[in-house]
Amino acid sequence: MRRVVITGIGVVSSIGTGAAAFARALREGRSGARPIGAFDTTGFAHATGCEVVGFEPERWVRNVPLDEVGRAARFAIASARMALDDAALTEEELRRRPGLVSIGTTDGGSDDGERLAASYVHSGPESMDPVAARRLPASTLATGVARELGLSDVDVSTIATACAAGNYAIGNGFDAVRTGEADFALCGGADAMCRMTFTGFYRLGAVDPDGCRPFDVNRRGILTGEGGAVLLLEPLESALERGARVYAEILGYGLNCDAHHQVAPDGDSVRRCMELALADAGVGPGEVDLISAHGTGTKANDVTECGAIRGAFGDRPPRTVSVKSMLGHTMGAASALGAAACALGIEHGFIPPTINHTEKDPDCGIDCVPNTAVEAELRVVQNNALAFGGNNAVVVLGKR
Amino acid sequence: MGPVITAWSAISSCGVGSAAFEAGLVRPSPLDDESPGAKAFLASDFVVREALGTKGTGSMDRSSALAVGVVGELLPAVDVDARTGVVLGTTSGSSQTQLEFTRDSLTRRKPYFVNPASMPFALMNSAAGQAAIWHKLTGPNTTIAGGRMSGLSVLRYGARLLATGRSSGVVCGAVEEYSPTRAWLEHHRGATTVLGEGAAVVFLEPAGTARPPLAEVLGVATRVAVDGGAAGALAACLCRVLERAGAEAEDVRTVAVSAQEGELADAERTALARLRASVVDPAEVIGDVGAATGPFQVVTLLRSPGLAVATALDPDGTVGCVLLRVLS
Repeated sequence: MRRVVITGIGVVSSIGTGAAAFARALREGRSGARPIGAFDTTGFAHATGCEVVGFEPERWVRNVPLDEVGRAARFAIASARMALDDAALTEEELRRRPGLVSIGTTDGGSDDGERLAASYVHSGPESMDPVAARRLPASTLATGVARELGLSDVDVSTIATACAAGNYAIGNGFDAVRTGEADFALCGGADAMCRMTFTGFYRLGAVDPDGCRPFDVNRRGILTGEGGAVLLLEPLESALERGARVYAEILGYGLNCDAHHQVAPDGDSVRRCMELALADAGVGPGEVDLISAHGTGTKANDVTECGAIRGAFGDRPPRTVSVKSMLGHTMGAASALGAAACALGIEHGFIPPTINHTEKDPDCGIDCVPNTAVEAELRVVQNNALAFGGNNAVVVLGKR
Repeated sequence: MGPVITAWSAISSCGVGSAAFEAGLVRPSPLDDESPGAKAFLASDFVVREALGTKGTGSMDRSSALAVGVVGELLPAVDVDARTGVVLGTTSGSSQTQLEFTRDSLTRRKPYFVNPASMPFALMNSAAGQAAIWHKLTGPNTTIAGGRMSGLSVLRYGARLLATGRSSGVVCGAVEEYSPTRAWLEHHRGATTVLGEGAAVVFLEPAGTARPPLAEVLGVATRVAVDGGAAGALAACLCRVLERAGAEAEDVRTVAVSAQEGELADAERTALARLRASVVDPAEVIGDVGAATGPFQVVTLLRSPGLAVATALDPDGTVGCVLLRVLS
């Protein structure tokens, strides 16, 4: 088995685009929250979200016709291009090697799907836009990256395991590079803001009117968000050979299914998933310096997840932060953005804060690094992801 | 020896279970809904409440029910442990459920007067998640939105889970519902095929378990036809799987095709021209089952001992094939 490292990071987010800007925003504890403009919010009492503003797709999507890829696919393509540039690799170099492109998503092309649904409902099914119908399938996220970069000899997959999809895609890329099936992986997640997710969480009373406040006693839920993050993974050996900057090593990952409830996470199962990941990484709980939690800011998630963390780590768990406090819940992109944040924290020696924090929820029982980033040397960091359907995935990153 | 297929099941217009599919009765149903087509191959024998009971199925949509049903048909034939996984392919999940959810938000007195119980079903991972919940399968549970590449994607992903020890055995397959929304989307994409509804799964596990293998998965290869040459890219995939297996093109005895019309069918024919294999097309029996096409190709090939190939082409530009050694 080969060792696998991250040598490139690409990010599109509500708090910064590109690895450097994203790292600065994390360190500053910036909030991406603003009034939602992506869809008509008439009739909702509140509609705050973490939207990406000022995104210029034509800067990144140069080869694939823009109308063939939806907003989430554009985020994926932009993130992949940035990761490639960040790794100081060219498309030509990647074309010569067998690779993998794996992009996680919750909603895929649902923003297009909603516009198609609106046509169906208001004007009849004959009036649906054929161009949008063609780009709707979520496979276009991963295939769009391959087409844009001219990569033919790649295993492409769009992984649709809802809000844990980013970690699934990173784990998939890690395994393919580790076993030698692929010599590089472009893996991560992307999602565009959509009405369906917002409405669903709103109906469940799980959208905070103002800001996302994970682990806070007054938390009221998620903010929906959007964005993308893609990591470039390669074998340690090739990274060293070409003198590449290594952000972090992927030490291992774990995945399992609660097989219990569609929307309520099962703490025991989440704990087992963390244990699987740590065992795969070959590290003990005592060696983990930081946990990047799923940390959605809903009542149920945070208590259950923190309970699972204490189950795996004991009563004095490592510092546990939620970057969703800054980015909102970016769905399939969430754990990819989380992994990018972990890698940047390892590289630059800091812990991103959990912002919007006023009063710790005693039932959570963790140090969430409230409001202000701290300097820290991080050797092992764990990135959690949970999803509807009981789909859990945990990635462990580190520097040896 | 590579990973092996040791069991399978299917739900389609032929009926519920493997025996019904083997009987292979071709029977498209007339449609009397608002669909653009006049007929479809519906899995009419699969009635959710009869098959799964009334408990827990109140809000369940058809896609998830098909997944729960087909996995339930398969499981009695295999051994399950804590690492048994489920890997299912899809095009976009249930487009009907997604449309209905959005329609409610757009047309009701308040935009949030939606049924919260239907929200998780609108997500693409619902079918795999529901199958795991219903049957208590706690291993890796992954949904791949592979469209028509789903059959190949789930086999390759499943094999990777086995190779890395993350799973002891994986239920690999795909589900595609029939619905007016899917029919309209396909219509607008230019498809003129007769749509079908179905779900098919195989059990993939390492060789050497208690169950005799039905087939060995010798290799999967896919490419993205970035220059538009789908036929050439598919031919390259075929070369690769044969070369890795140490086989020649003339050794392939059966090939299951996937594309029914248009450029993709032309490309598929061109790429397969040098094979002297007999050709089977499950769509003739069950219609165009979208993402489930690949798993149905695989289970169709299990009837034909010897080297067998299933090919796949998606309009998104991806092509590929799997090489199987079907055991007698």
